[in-house]
Amino acid sequence: MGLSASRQIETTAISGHLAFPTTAQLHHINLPVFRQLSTPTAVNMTNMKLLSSDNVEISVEKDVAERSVLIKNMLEDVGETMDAPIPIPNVNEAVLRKVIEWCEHHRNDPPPPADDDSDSRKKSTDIEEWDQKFMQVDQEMLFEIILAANYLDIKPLLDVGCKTVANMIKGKSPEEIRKTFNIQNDFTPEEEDQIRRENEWAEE
Amino acid sequence: MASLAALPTELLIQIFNQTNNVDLYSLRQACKRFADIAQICAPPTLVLQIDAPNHQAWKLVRSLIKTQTPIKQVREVQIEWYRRATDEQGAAATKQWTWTRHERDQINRLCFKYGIWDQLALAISRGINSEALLPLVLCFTPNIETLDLGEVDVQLVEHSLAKEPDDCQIVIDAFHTLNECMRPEYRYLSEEDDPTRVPVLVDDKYYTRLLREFRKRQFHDIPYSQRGYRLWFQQSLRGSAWRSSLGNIKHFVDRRRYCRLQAPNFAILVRMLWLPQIQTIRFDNCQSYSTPQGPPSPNTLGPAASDYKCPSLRRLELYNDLLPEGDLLAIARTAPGLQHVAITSNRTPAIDVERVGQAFVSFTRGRLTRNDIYIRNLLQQEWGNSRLVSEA
Repeated sequence: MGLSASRQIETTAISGHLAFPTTAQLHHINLPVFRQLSTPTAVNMTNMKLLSSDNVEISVEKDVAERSVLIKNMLEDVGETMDAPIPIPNVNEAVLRKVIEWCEHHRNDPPPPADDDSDSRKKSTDIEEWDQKFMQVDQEMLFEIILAANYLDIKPLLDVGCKTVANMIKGKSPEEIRKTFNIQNDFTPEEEDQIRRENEWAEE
Repeated sequence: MASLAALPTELLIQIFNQTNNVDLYSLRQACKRFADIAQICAPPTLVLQIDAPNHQAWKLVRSLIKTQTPIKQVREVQIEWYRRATDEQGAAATKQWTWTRHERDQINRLCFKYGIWDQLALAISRGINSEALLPLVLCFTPNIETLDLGEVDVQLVEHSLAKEPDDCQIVIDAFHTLNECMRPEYRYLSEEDDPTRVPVLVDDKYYTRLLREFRKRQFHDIPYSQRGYRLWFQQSLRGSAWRSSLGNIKHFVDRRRYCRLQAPNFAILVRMLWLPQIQTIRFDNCQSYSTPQGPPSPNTLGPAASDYKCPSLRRLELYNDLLPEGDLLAIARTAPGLQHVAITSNRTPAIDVERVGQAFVSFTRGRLTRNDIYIRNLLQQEWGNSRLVSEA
């Protein structure tokens, strides 16, 4: 932990020094001297490629991709150069693009506060508006996003996904839950009865 | 293909933990795997369904007194009101609950231990009114931070006093009239002093008779709060030992619906200001006995009112309140740490939005600015630029 943290500081120091204009700016400025500066190393500081499970290469900015703790750790372990695309074997192109869209929107999010001392009333089920819209997808995509967020270790996205599903469960009867999520009732009538008779509160 | 049932167990646990105890119960009945997983989940939200036909609240308390173990993971208690969903007879539509003798003994012992008000304990042990269970539930949830009383429809509470629909009407009339004529501003102020005074047309004997009628009902029917028209747990907020279990509450919500019969509840708001860690309060349709321009009434702000401070309060939302300006100024003085204020007032005469707004600014020593405040009075005059977050 301590090692990777110090390495990260080192990298930022170097990139702060080298990649003074951002890649986007470099593309707009045609001066040869800047062209020279944009060596492959400098470009890789800000841009990288991911390879989806269906073998599609997707280009993504490094700080966006680093919303994924998995990718971030991988980059730290491998070192600064990463020319080859990183394979993401569990996530297909459509889902990966969706996840990247989320990461792009949330690229500048501050890290979550360690101590929950926010002054506004924060309900556990509250989802911010953009995320709510983002999650308006069919169920298969929703669960794919959750699985991808879990695999890629993007905790805030996983949270939003879980909350979305929890909100879909809320207020539904057992039958409605089965219908909504296409779940087979595998209880015998006796078992069903027994559960109904049991206490409603699972004891600690 | 990805689906809920195909998710790995650890993700299902995470999802189930975002629901509440009621949903968890439904999940347990959906399929075997969910039943197993729900068994090890402990969502931090506890829902108490008042007068639900399935007796959810009573069953919950039954398991609590059986285990006598605090449910430590609960951070939020939410009340859901069901009486309105039943037929016209209100509370009468929900069947009475019965305890075993042993359970009744245990309840009496618990109520004594936690200093729960006698009549409340009686209501619990007789299985009459599930709203009475809230204080007992709070005794078992030492870590709650949010108390959401939900959309209380107070009128329905009064319905429970009557057995026949006609009785309902009589009781409602009685309450209404009593409530009106017992308000100090109508009692003690002459018409000249207070332009809002409603001339009372009926003579005093009528009220005496109504009062007698009301008392008779109270004792012959079911035991109810001494004041007759308060919610059980509100009545019990008065200085009982169980209040110590509220020590961690940071957020308080009461989205009651407007009801003419309803007794002033400023006292409840003030009690919330006494909670040591309170940060946000939302209270709809709040009213008080204080006179229109006078100081806040002493029995609501307490003898130490003048120097009492509630520095932890960050956010205050009072929608459709009927508080006189004096009460609002008193709140401003009490809460120097406010960061956001939203008030929509229905009080007559209309409050001076500028004066109230400036009071909030000055008591926070300017930390609260016009941009953090929104105040609107009955005449639709507005002060402050804050956008209303939510409105009843």
